[in-house]
Amino acid sequence: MSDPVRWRTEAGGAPDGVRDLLRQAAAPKALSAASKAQHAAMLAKLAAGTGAVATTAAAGAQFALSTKVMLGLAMTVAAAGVGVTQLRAHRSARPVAASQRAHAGPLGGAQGRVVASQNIHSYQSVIEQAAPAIAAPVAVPLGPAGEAPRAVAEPMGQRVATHAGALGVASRPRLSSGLAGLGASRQGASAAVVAAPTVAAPTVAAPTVAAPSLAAEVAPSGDDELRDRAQFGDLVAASQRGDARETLRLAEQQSDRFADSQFREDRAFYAIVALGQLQRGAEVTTRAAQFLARYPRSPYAPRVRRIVANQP
Amino acid sequence: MDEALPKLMSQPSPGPALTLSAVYTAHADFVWASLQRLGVRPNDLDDVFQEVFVIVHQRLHTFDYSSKVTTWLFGVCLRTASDYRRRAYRRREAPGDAPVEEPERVESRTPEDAAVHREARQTLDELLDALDLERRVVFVMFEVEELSCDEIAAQVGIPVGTVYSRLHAARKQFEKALARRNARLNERGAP
Repeated sequence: MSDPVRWRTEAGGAPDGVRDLLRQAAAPKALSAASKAQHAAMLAKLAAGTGAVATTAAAGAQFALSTKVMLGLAMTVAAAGVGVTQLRAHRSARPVAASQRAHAGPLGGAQGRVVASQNIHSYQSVIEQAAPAIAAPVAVPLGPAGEAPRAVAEPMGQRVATHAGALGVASRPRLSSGLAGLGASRQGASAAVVAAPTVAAPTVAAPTVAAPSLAAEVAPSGDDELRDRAQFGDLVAASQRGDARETLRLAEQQSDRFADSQFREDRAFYAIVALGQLQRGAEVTTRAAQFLARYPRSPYAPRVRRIVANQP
Repeated sequence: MDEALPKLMSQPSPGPALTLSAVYTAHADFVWASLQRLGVRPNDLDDVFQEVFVIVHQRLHTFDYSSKVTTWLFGVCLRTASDYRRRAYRRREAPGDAPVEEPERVESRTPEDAAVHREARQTLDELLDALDLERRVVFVMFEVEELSCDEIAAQVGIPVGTVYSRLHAARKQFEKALARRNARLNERGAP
């Protein structure tokens, strides 16, 4: 799959005036070294403030930030800020987007990286001293405030809306080429997808009335990507209805039909969910092993592991 | 295949023990950029940035290495920005609070150009504010920062297919917001 054409380009098909607007847009500004140092200092105070609590839990290794340490902190942070700021003044201009892309901070060049890392290390060590007991235990499950993003931890509900949005309206570039042919009736189907229950209960019983098929409305001669997208919408809708058998059937059918689809990872995941709902433990295990081997870093991987773990 | 499952079922091997300072040092720039992509205004950026790391500090022990650190951090940014959006404290930017522009661009502008630029930025901000946060991020990263969909997927921690879908949905939402805005201006008789 190649990326869609950007709206900034002439061929991007942006609405009137949007190209001009986007040309005026600025990429996110980089975090300045001074600001970074300032925040580090505040975080050091924060860590110090809770350090006593943390160390109590850690068998009473009491930690108190003395005045001398605070003074040292301020000096170190100031030095770090000045050092990095000076380097910034010498560095050649670098596009903001490029620095954001690299996530390497505002400095460019080997010298800059070395000195910057020394400076950063200096305030890193200050925070380290101030927060000696924040090391992360591994086994605790993700909690509500800090859990993985909704789209990752709960991709289904989010993605229904997303895919329904993708299917619901005509559009321009290649992402939706041919969508205009879907017609107005598709809007109703799309709405049905959005209105489906957000979390499928682990029920196996198939509902008596199926939502209207989006894929059925796509002309047979339509472009493959459009059909792929539309049929994936049907699959998601089936899963949302809690219709595990239909979900599984569609996932397998579509996986064969669209072997190189952008949604193949998603389909494999939905098939595992459906198998789990059908309590077909052996197949869940096999599919999960295949999935995790093929997509070890998938956002779905934690859920796949949970499904396996929950099998009787 | 089943024999391989126990190994696959185990969590990805954790890296070195994660500390607040390590997260801050490695990912402060990512958090800073993500908050801007999520629509946090320059005047509020410092506060919200601090807020994110306060949450990170409180919740770091819950990080279980089932995802990349940046994915987890992005989740925290998303929630914090969502709260920020809901809260009423977001300040209206006073003229004096306008974001500082890059000097070379300011120098090359006439006052008229600067005014046009400022107005365009305000319009764009207004339209971006109409987008759902998850879509907004993808839209900004793709259309403004010109990152590839693969890069966006890696940073945000979603499959690339989801990037395509969100981008598509964002564009539709953007177009609708633009149409609403134009209709509103036409009603007022503005140019």
